[in-house]
Amino acid sequence: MFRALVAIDQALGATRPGWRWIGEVSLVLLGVHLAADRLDDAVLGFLASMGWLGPDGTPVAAYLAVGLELLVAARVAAILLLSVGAPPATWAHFKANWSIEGVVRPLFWVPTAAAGAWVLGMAVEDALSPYLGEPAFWLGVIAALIAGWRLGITALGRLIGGLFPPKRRTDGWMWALPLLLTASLAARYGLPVWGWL
Amino acid sequence: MSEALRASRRLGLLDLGLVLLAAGAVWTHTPVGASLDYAVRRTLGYEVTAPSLTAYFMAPAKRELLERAIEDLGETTLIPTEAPENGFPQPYRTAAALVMPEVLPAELDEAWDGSPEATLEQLVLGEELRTRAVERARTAGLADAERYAVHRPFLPAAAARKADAKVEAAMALGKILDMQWPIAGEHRISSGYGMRTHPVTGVHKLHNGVDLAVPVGTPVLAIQDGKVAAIGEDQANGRFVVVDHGSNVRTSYCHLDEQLVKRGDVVTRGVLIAKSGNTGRSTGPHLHFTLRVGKKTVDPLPLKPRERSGAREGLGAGEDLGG
Repeated sequence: MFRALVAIDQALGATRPGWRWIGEVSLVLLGVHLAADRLDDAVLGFLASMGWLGPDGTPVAAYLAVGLELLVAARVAAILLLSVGAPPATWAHFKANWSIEGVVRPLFWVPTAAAGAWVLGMAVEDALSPYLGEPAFWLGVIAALIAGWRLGITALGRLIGGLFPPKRRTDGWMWALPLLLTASLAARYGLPVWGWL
Repeated sequence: MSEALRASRRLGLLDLGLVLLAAGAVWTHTPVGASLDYAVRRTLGYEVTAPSLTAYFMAPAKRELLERAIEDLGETTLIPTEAPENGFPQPYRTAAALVMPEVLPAELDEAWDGSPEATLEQLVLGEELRTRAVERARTAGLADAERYAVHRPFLPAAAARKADAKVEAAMALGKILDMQWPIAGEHRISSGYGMRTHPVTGVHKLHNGVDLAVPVGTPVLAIQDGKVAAIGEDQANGRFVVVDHGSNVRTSYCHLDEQLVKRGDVVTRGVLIAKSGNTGRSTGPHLHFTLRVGKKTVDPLPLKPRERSGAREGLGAGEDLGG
């Protein structure tokens, strides 16, 4: 039985490059959604402060939030797909290939993956709580930590390892705003730390 | 097989489990998942309706519930009158009876804990789920974690959908039922809510509010407690004020002569916020008043405190002054 399990484990491990990126994208998308949940309010506040918000501005903000979430999702999926099979990240590789894109990638990835791991942990707690009660919370914490390790950190390494030599150091500037906006919202509203600070 | 290769292939089961868990959560929790679900079902030949992606940001399906509830307002037998002392208060009592008829007034009174929203949420979701979501919002450092809109993202997706439909709808309706009409005293409705041909542009489209024919300089009152979300001026609406009343209820007041509040001001029910005018695309002095619940507008006239019954008979009788 144990041998069979090890064999299955190894067989799945061998095919990992073909499917792990789905989990990595998913993890970040969960974090992005938690951030985007606050985005419509942020957009509304911004439009109103600039005097651009008409009486019918509420739906506009919600559509912008959806649009940004889908845009970021497409970008993240593309980045991860292109970096499948990339070598592990090294400082020398980053130094040789850095660009705005290269700097934005980890700045975006860390908070959104952390927020996504928390969402996953909460989902585990919600699913198990009716059966286990209080221990479900700790299983949720463990699930979040494992997801952060197995999907978040490994993907971060590949994202940096998968950087192509840029044509210009300014490559990726167009994506910087949506990615960093999402990351800052995820950092502010999607991390279970601010209440303790 | 080398040891290094073997080591790199370990934990395949764990990783697959995590991938399935994460992908499943995306599928059920996010607009991306809803879009993929729609695409897959369409590809497989199922008849499906396109998902409302904005529903992930604004409480969905309330319009239908509210419309049904507003229709039911005419059925006076459905409406409880007085609330007992220390019981679940009006007007949320009426709103709950209309939106959540399965909940008995006695249950509302028993669960009453000083906040209509919290009480309704506890009845719909149970205390444990609510407490957990509030705690999570507090852990994330969010202010006003007790408010449903703040801790909503920390509820399980199915629970949030259930509460959106019931709690948010009842709260929105309660706020609307308790509203102060924006113009005090007698006035004519010069154009009602609904499809019409615009008197200036000639375009046939939805008139998303009501036009109250009043002279320039008439005081305009906030219909309910809230916060000024925007003030501004544009060609179509003239000078306008938008007030956010919470629970996804927003009102706007257009064609104003004077705006007496600024963005971010907290206003209370019945307070003077503007003076009516004739600015923007308008053919005569009037106030264009819009009531919005979520992303859609609602006809405010049947909800006017004095005219809840039979208000529709008066519509369309007056001259259309534009708006």
